[in-house]
Amino acid sequence: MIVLEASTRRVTPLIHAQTVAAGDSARLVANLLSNVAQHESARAANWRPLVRAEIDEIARECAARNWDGYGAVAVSKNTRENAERFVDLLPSDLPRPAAVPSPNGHIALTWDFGPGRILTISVGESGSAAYAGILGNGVRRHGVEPFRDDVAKVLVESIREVSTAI
Amino acid sequence: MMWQRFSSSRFARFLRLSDLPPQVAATESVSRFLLSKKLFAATTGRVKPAALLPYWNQKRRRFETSTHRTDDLRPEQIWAIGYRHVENLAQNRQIRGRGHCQAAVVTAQALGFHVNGRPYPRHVDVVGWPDEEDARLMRATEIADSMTLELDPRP
Repeated sequence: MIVLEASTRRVTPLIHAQTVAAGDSARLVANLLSNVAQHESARAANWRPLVRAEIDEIARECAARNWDGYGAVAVSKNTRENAERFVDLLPSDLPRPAAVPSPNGHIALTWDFGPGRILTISVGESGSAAYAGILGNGVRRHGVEPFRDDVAKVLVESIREVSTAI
Repeated sequence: MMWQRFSSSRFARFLRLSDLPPQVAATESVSRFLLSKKLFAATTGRVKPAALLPYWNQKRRRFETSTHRTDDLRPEQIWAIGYRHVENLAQNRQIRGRGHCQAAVVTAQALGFHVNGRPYPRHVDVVGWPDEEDARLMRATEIADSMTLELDPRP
């Protein structure tokens, strides 16, 4: 029989696992956990279309230079496509970012959990992602990572870190 | 000549230009006017790091972020600077809010101020930004994280 068990990792709350447990109680627990897993999965997967819509809106509103009144560079079609591709490559169990236009024509994805817990990943035309964050507990990290078919581990780990820091 | 006329005008007196020291002190307040709602989160009162990122000034060959000194001004005087010198409704540039912090928050990031209040009174550019994009983003994140958001009070 296949049931679900709670994982110790907050960001991947439920995983499939084998067990020998049987009986009505075990079946009830398995059903409840299954429902929770389906709900979590739906919730996590649902933010992608929302963020893609934000990116599309940014691309439309910031298509001309000086969209911020301070001389900002226009957001290009390539940047929009790269930002959407980057969003599609993120694991679905991560929390939802906010898409924000940058004055250099890039699109930034920001995870903001309040003072001392904020991370931004900026995507432009080049297919690389610049990132910088205060990840909680005084941890600061920044750098540049390329992305093509997957997202660098340090980026995924940084998102997990900023969203789970106490 | 024009500046002399301006500095003796009622608006200049309103902005207390003659009270300003030549250099930005660590304890002074500086404001960044925000012209896009996407650059802040009104619900949480947070300014996004992208709002502080500099743009490349080709003429001066440097990255700079435009801010204003706001010490000793009442809120209506601060907003007046933005409405008069930053906003341009004909070009669809409407002020939506402003983020402010102490100048020390900026200088703690190894950034400096270039006081250039002419022709825009109380204007000061944040300069000294590094060449690397991620390093600029880190500094902008540190400043944004310490900023207080004020929403445009107009209805």
